[in-house]
Amino acid sequence: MADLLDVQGVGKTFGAPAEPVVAIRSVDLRVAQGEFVSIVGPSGCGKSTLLQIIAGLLPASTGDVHLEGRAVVAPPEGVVYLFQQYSRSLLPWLTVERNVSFGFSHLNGASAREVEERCIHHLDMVGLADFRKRYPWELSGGMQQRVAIARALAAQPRVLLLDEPFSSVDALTRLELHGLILELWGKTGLTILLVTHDVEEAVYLSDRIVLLTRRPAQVAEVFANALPRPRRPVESREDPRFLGLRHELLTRLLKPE
Amino acid sequence: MMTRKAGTLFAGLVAAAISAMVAVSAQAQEKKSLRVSIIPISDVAPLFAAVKEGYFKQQGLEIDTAPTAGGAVGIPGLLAGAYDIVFTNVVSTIQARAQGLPIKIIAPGSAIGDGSQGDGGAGIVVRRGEGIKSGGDLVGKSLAVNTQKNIIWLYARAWVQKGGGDPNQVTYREVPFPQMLDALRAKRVDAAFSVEPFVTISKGDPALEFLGSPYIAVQPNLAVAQYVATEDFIARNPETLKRFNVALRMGIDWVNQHLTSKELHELLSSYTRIKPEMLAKMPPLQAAPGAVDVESIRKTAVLMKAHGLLTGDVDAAALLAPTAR
Amino acid sequence: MSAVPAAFRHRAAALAPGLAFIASWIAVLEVAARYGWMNRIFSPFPSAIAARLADVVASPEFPQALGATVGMLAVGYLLACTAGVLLGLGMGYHRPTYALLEPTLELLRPIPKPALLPPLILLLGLGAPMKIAIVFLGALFPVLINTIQGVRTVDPVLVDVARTFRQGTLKTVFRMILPASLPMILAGMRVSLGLGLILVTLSEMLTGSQGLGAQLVDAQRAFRVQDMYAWTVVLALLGLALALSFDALERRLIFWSSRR
Repeated sequence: MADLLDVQGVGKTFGAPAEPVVAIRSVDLRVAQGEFVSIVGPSGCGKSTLLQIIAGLLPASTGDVHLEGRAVVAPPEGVVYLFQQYSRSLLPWLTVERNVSFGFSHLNGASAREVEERCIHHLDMVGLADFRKRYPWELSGGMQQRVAIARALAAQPRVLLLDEPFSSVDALTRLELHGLILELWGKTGLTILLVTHDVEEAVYLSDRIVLLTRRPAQVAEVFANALPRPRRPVESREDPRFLGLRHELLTRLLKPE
Repeated sequence: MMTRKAGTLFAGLVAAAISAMVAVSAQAQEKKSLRVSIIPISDVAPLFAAVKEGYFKQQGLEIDTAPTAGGAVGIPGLLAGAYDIVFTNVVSTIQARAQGLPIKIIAPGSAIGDGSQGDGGAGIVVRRGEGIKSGGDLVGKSLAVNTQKNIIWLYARAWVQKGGGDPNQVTYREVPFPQMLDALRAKRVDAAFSVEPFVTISKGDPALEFLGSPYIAVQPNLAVAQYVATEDFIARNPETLKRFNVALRMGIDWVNQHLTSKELHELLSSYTRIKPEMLAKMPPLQAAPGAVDVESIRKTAVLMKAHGLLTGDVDAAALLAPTAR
Repeated sequence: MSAVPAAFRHRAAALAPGLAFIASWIAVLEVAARYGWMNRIFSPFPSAIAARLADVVASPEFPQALGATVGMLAVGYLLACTAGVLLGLGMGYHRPTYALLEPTLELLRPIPKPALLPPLILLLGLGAPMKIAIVFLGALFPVLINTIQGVRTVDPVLVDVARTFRQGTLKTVFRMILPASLPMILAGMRVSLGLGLILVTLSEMLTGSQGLGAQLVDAQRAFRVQDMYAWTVVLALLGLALALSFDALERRLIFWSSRR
């Protein structure tokens, strides 16, 4: 499979020249088309910053990001970033349906009928077709996140960047959303990059896991995930391959550096 | 020999008696120091002359003058107690009386003559050569007045009517006096009802033409303004008002004897801020009236009713306090 | 079953103590005027004012005066809101524009707008252009400043949402920033409405031409005191009607703002 995403030597420094804060020292990463890759690391290590640089929302201080060979300097076509604060990322003055269409309706002339159909289709994929006339603030946290996912998918991206998307939902909802993400990934053949602090989530969902060091971030190690697909919520979590990878990741994360 | 207690009691009684006497005598005493609201124009020259020549002092009165914008401001001030006497135009007085405000005229103020002594110093100015000659020519045009619905507005309308025109077909625009000639030159208005010194200034401008005074044309010898006071003040200060009138009439005589003199010009420039040289160029002052002309007031009331400034009737004679006659 | 809906009755009950308070003060005024405890001539006399109010409203001058005031206010206000929002969006979103215009803004804003009336009268005369101009100048600044603030305080997450979905600048400003800033913009527009009414009334009072302010001053000059109060009441009711209408509009437009 071809490399879709090529991150080379990306570094990020914040703050005044006199007192710089190095968030990311240097990160190299390659993601193939259709892969599901997780990025984990200690709190505040710069995972979200890295993801935003890949999304084109932040400029890198050093190094560069290439998507299909083209340099990323601004949010590129085909890449959608999903926010950690999903509740704030939905437009409260628009219905769920219009929020979903917000991501694509401004693009070249689809008719109102086509827009509506696309919205309903994607809301259906996340199981919220009945709620399309509601407002985001009428929905629960988990439902709001699903709307955000539907909105992202409706824009028909090639790459989905998820920034700790499930960290503020309750445990059961999280498990449901895991299932949803895997289902959607399976159906669409998207490339997904997931930033999370939850090791189990990373192991359950991804093909590869990139472990970052504490700030200033670098790649500590990349782990291949041998856990077989399709993954099941209960059984996969009891699989020794799951437990082994989880053990190793947790040990590395909890080790004082 | 008094005990201490008795002594205190006696002192207290004496103090009380003295206070009572002072209070009673204060009530019986009339006001000697008067606050008079005036408009700083030539009409009040007799008052200032009487002050300057010491006539008021001779009568035991002290006059403190306060400039105001006119009757609409002065009369409320009068009723609120800010002024004792107010110099105000007759239209404001009649209107106030019609609304039941308890005021009366206590002395004559000023009158516009009949044209024999000059053109009266106030009147219509137009742009020369545009063909406006009489009131009728103003139909469909605009006329600058300093305030709507005042005496100037009223007599302008009457003048239009006299000239054969319908006053409702003239547009009246409010323009302050100092800006009227500019508005005329800039063609923002077609005519202006102006006063001195602007009328004299307009006569020096070849582009402008002075047509004459609507007052003289409509109602010669118009009693245009008087001094008024509240009925309450009149009741409490009859002696003061008598003396006020004596001194004022002496001032009127002085002015009438000095109509073209340098002393009058100096007096006028002391409170109107018009320079003596300018005053010398202006037509002579109108003679000040020695008494209030009741008939003139009656005619003004009729005119006010005809032009919608008055509903109902006002008894002109009842407007006058005895001292005004 | 009552014909009056429950919500209305509830609100009426909440308002009752306040309304009773007002009514008691009107009663006090009435008694004071009737028994001469206050200066009878110039004090408000509620029963007389009510009678004159009926006459005033029925008079032919009333629709003319009301139309003139509301008309001038409407034109100046709508122009100011449009200009304020557009300029505010530009200045709030585009740093160089802000840097260019902000000093001028800071210079003009603190000028008490009534002070602009004499120069405006000299420059524009006494008619509609002057009145529209003064309302415009007064109403512009609250809307403009609030729009700039609103744009500046838009949730950065929302801005990034627009970016990740690759909305161009124009679409971002009008589909995202403008609705998101609407609560602040409307707050500014509310202040501007009150200010506009004050300024149009003031300009009418000073030039005595047309409108409610002119009628009020006219009554004052002719010593028709209770008429003057009646026109004051008309102005107060106009202000109230405008405020309530604005509230209703605001509720419809930003029904979502307290839910975030």
